[in-house]
Amino acid sequence: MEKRKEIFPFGIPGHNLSEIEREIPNDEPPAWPVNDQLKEVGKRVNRIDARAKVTGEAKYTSDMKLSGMLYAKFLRSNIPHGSITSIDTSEAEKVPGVHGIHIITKNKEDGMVGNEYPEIKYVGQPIAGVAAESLSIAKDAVAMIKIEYDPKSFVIDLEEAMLPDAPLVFKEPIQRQEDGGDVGVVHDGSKGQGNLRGPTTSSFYGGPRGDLEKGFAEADVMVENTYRTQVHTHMPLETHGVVIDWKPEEMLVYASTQNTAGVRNELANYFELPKSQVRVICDFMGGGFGAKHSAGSFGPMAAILSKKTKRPVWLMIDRKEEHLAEGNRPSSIQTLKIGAKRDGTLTAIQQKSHGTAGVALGAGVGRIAQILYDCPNFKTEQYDVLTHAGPGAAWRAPGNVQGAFGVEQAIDELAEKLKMDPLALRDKIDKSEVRKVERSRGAELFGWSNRKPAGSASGIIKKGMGVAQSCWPRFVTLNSSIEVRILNDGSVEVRGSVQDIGTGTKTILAQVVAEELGLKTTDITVRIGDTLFPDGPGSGGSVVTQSITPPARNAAYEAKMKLFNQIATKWETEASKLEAVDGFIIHKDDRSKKIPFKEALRGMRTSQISVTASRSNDYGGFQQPWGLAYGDLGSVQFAEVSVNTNTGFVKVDRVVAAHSCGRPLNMSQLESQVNGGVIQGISYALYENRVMDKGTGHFMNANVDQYKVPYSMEIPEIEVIIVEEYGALSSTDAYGIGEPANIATAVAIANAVYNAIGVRIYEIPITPASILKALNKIYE
Amino acid sequence: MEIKPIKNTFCKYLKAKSPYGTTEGGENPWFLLDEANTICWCIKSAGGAGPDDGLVAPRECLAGRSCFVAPEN
Repeated sequence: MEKRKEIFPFGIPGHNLSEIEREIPNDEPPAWPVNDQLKEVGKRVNRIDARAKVTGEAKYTSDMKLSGMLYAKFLRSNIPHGSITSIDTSEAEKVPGVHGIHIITKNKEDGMVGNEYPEIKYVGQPIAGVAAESLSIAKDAVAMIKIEYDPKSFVIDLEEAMLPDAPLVFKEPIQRQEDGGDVGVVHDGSKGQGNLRGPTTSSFYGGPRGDLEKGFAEADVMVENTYRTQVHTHMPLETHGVVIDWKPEEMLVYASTQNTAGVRNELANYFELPKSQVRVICDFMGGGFGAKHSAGSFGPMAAILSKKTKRPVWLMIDRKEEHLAEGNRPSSIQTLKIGAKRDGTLTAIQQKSHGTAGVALGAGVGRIAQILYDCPNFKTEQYDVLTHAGPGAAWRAPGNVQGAFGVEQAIDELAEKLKMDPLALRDKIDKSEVRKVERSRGAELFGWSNRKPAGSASGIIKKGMGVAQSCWPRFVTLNSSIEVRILNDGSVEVRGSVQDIGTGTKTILAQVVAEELGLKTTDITVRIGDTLFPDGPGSGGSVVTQSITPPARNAAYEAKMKLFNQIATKWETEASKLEAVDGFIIHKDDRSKKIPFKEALRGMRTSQISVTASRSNDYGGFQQPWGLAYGDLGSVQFAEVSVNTNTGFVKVDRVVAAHSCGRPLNMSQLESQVNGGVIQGISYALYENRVMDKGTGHFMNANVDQYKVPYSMEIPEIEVIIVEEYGALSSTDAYGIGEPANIATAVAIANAVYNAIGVRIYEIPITPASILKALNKIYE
Repeated sequence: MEIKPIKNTFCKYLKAKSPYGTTEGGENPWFLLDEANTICWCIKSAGGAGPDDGLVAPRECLAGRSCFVAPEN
């Protein structure tokens, strides 16, 4: 591929902005200057779908009403562990309005073990589904299905599940050949015995480093403590679900999903259909925070019922089912030991964690301890503990939120032992330039200099201030493509399978294309969330912005150059002499020579110019060739709290959140995402908690009443600082912000609570009871 | 140090969501580079346990298991 050299802005405006030369592919556009000099990108552009959302015009999956559509409901287990011995659907079949019943079974061809019914491993496990003319009929019919169980002993408590005689969630060993494979020295998290799996000792940043013993021997100061985080379930406004119309020629799927292409692939794989015969659409999305990447059990169920009944089937799960079975952030018990020299230099970090993702694996605590701070000696051991509870799922910054709760309290404790300001210690041990700027700008806005010594506040209501920071990798999904079409009626269209989960992906795509074509954002029509169009990334891991906006800009540029070639021929000049600005195509050397963009489109040789572009490699290469980009998505968050020492209530008064995401594309949307992340962090710190009954294995607060989330009066003033940071890595140089928005909040609150009352709380949620216990005002 | 994807042949129905994206059943090599935060499920059973009621995980979903299905490619 032919390349050329371009000069890009590099660094942080107001801090160290400079320029850098990069080699870029010849077919990619010239470098954009910093945002100050752009017209659409980086501005507070309104969401292009705002009107549709606020007027109710926007149709979500749960709103879909297709002709002849049936409504489906799951039958779920009400025991946590056991076998099904019989299922009798005869009474349910007689209910008027019932059109189809499907029982989930195993079969010999699929390698079944035991009887035909899957073993029950948690309360809420799907067993069967009913499709009927209304949801209430479906529910009535579900209630009439008779199931006989052979119950078995179960365990839902993490620490009890680790005991040698604990009931096993999965029988061992699984039958397979002796040389069935080796997942490699560093990928060892699924080995183990009993209900314990692990340890995982590495990540994509590598494995252990240095010599822990030597590092601790060199330390002048040590901190060692255990930190606990709870199971945190998913609470999107729109629950998981699909509407499926399986016609002979195509399976049409409306899905509330973060990954249209992933759901299409999964259903195609399940039913052994060509991908081209499954179409997944997600036009509007009522929230997804990591758990909506799969077709789940509801996808195959709705498809089977649609095929059986030859009618479209609506299957949206309800709030209780969402809590029980559609994913959660696993719990953690983390022991951290950190050693440091008197000047703050870290000498060793040792981390050991246990967590439960119920019947699944993946309860590690992320990479925060491994990479946030400079430390030559590091080791982690992360264990999964299987329990008879619903499976975990990715949850906004998987692992890092739990990990930050330990690491960032330990760093606070270390600062106190060293008699250093927590920010000064972080200035010493954190090599990130952008977080240095975030600490500085955040501290100034927050008024960090007014912070008082821990526990020194007087009165019943004590105020405290805390800080914490985070990192999140810059992942790029290389399999990201998008199409830009310019049409001879003057319109411009962007098309892709990438979905907008509510963060504003449609708007940033329109901004990027508008900027490239010299148009307004409102001139661009964006049709995404449909697998008829080129495959885009899943909306997870904060990957979307950096994965899909560069190909969108590159496709717009290429389409523009094709148009310029046609105009240049007419004007007897070269395409390179033309530019698109303010709705016109202009000759750079003779600016009187210009034509409105839309008029130019009318003169095209064909009715459209269509270009599909895919994500190219970063200009400076990657840290890892599969798409781990250089740099990270840092944040520093400050929290101020009031703690009522009589009642134990904690009120978060204020949060200042300083973040970076490369080149900011839309300040309003970024602030909105940070606001959401902070609110979820507050909820995690103070309210949300899955409560399981050890006697029955049931989730006791699977609702929106006793599963607490903050209401409006519990949400503080949130001030957001977005630090522009240019890395010259792609044609937009922009990154997502979803994950980092959520990582530091809970631990910043925990540090603020310590500052207020002078007693550290090592477990979340921090409840009135935990405050009063810490203050010795109530006892176990 | 470059961390390489796994070269093993996993079951066609094994799927995973890791912090950086989903790994599709049957892909080879598999991009499972951070197992500590990766949640796996079986496409065939649409859940965290396989058709044999066993654990769904890269170490487990390999040739020889009763429910294993080799990817086509």
